[in-house]
Amino acid sequence: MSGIALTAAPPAASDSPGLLRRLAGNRSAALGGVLLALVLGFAVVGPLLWPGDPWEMVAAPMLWPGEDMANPLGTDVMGRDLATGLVSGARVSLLIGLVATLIAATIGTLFGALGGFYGGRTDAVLMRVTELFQTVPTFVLAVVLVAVFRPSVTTAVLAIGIVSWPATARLVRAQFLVLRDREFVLAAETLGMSTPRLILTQILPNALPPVIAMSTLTIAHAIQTEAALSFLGLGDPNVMSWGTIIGGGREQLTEAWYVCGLPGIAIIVTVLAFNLLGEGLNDALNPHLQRR
Amino acid sequence: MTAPLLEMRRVVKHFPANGGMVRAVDDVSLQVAPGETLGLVGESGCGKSTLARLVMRLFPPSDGSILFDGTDLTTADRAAVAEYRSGLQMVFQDPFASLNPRETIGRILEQPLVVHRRGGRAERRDRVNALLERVGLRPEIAARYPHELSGGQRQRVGIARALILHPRMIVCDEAVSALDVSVRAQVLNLLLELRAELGLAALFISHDLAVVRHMSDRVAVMYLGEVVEQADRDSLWDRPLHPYTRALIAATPSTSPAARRRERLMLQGDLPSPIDPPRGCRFHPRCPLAQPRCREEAPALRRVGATEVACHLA
Amino acid sequence: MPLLEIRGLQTWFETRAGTVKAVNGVDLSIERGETVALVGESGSGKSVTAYSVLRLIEAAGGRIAGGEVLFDGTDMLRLDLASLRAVRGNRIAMIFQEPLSALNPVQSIGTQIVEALRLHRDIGLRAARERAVELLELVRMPSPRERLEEYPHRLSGGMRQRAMIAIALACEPDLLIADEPTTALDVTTQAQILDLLRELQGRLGMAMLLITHDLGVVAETADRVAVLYAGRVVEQGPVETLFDAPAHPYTRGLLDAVRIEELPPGSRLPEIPGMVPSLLALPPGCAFAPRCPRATPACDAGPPAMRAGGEGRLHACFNPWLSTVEGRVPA
Repeated sequence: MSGIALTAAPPAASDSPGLLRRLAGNRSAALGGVLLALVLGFAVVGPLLWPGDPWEMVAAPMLWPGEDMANPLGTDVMGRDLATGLVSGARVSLLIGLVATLIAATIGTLFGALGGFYGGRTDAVLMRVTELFQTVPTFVLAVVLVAVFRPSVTTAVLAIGIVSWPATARLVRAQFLVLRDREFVLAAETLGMSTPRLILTQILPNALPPVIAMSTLTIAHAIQTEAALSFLGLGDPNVMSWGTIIGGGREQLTEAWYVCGLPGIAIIVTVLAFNLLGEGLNDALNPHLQRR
Repeated sequence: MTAPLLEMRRVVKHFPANGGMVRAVDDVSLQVAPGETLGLVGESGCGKSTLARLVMRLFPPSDGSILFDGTDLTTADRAAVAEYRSGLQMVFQDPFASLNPRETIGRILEQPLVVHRRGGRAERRDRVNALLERVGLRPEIAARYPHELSGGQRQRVGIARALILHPRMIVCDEAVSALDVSVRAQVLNLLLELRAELGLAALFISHDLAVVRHMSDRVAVMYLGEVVEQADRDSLWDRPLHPYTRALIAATPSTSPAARRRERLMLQGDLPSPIDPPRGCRFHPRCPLAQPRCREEAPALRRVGATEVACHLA
Repeated sequence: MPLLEIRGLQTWFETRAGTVKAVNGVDLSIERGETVALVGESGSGKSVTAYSVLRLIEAAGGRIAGGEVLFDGTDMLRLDLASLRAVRGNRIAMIFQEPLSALNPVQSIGTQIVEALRLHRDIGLRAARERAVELLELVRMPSPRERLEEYPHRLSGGMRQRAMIAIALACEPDLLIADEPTTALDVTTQAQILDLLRELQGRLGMAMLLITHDLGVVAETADRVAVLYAGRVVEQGPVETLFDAPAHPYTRGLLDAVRIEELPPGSRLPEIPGMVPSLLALPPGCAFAPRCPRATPACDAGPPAMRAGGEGRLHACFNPWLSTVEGRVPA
């Protein structure tokens, strides 16, 4: 053994109390956390401050922010309150981002886990399917999926989930390939553990940390995709999302840029928050970096 | 003679590799009687670890059969295999790699009992605590994670895990190779004590002939997937018949002045690839005594006195 | 003047948990042409000492906190980078435990030897290649000329180690540092490599600092040995006399623990109780005292100084095994 590896083995448990402290000590993770807290706070507290239907025309159209304190962020071309719309958009974006990512993570983990665990023919078939999805441009596929089925929150979530899983599948598979032959997994096998139990209690908990880090990035991407779909008019016609507001305001971009600008800033902040958090998580969960 | 507890009959294991088949284990027959320790010695790539994994049923043999307590595992049903697994347990080489980093020691030790539905919660905890104490660890350690323990402590946990289901036999695959010498002695002593106390049979695998000799009743020497010599411990150590066994004994560096005066038998060359092993006797390209016959004809294991040896010249 | 003299070397690592004092006051000297083994268990500081000599320790996150490393009279710790580079690979060469990771995987063996030569010698490409063949012959590489074109992964473990030795010997160093050179090898290959190192050393007259955990390797290779425990040398002296009658209880414990073949099979092995202390919080006195069968209250008060024990022997112990009655009688 080289005497260079002096420090004790790196703490590998992500659930140890050190994780939060490590995240807090990581500048990008801390900034991401603060931004995310702001967005979450906006989505939770917003409905209390600006109750009402975001579709309702409440005032004169194209009021600039601050012009009338009844509509602090102004109104759009139809006279709908922008603050109420942004709050609704925050809830929709977060909901779609989270649920779509959950779907992507589930499909991806399932494909990756089975392929990595069983290897051979199972792996070959599953990975060819994964590649098939990877070769089609994700946004085009999402557009097609939403267009074929009726645009709604459900179809948007499903479409985004379905186009986002291949990267997770590849990551999980790589993790499983390594962990499958680790001695503690073999040890569990010699104890007579069943295959599902082996996967769920021994391999998966060790494979998840990078998946969690990546999923934060998937959330960010899902939010962007949803905004893009809504912008193209492929969002749920009954739900006001950030993309819908931008789509509605694009004709008046020169006279009232804030109609597109405010939801645009909201998207940037939210996506940035998740990206920073993902980056920070990646560092904090990476055992190689922890050693430093 | 009592019926063997573990019996391997003409076991073969081939793996596909780039450019051919790795003949990891080739026609190996071994027996372990109840309460007996069989030592298995050989260098890396000789197939000893593959053999351990075959015995543990981590993969099936390509040919031949493995019987535990009279049941053929290659044809047995799931229930019989589950039963067999609790009767035969393994201690791994790397005590860190063989413990799940995300589970506490208590959880790691309790798990086998849960899997095999043994005892209630309280009973399981008692058993874990009693065993921790038996292997020389404080019960508080149950709440710790593997990375918080030293190498020696981890290997004690590994041993406790192997014993928690009351097995009849344990397979130790290089169980002390990763440990420092001062800790190695502690772990070997623990294994010796436990074996005597519990009447365990064992398959003790190591590259270190001196350690194997100390721990075993009988010793088998493997080279390139085959058993080349098998004898009781003292015959093998004092009167090795196969040139490879002699080279192994001579090559082991020793601090004792007596050993330094030992006959030197230096082997030439390196271990050939197991993908395309040499024709005839697999040892002949490195053997200082090789004859033309050794290149042509593969020697079979035959009995010479108390020893079984696969060499034309023995 | 010794070729290499290490005085009071301290190498520390800053970690989140505190300062790890991996090497904590090592004194060691090596004469020209001599083989000195630095032996100890993992975490004893043997590799860190070796890396400190060539100042490779900064790359590993360590810091040399004190001491001197005099090579041929020059303090290595005070050299500027250019002068240091002129010594590395030229007058002091190093071989490592794992040749596969120490060799460049995308360069052929020949290219690597030639590069090592041309780094320090004004020599043409053709001449360097001829010299590379000679070097491979020297390390008894089978069919050396063909091996020039081979890549490391195509060679066996033993041949890789031979290739690494050839690179190390390219500039005919005065000192070869061998860090666990045979630990990754099988015993029969280990015997070949040790035999080769012994022969080369005698032929080229270079000194060797052998880092190992294996007392058997020490016995068969070294002239003198220094035993390290928790970052300090606890005992040193000529291998023969030191192994026959160790003075320090730790050395004795180690030797007893490895002399397994002298015991009746199946008997209880002599063990050293407890475990190595944490390098983060070393005891104020002798670091071995908590595990020592001969410890007295005095051992916990302060660290024992190195004392001469005759016949070139040194030990750092308040209660050494000294009388021949107590000591191990040579067989």
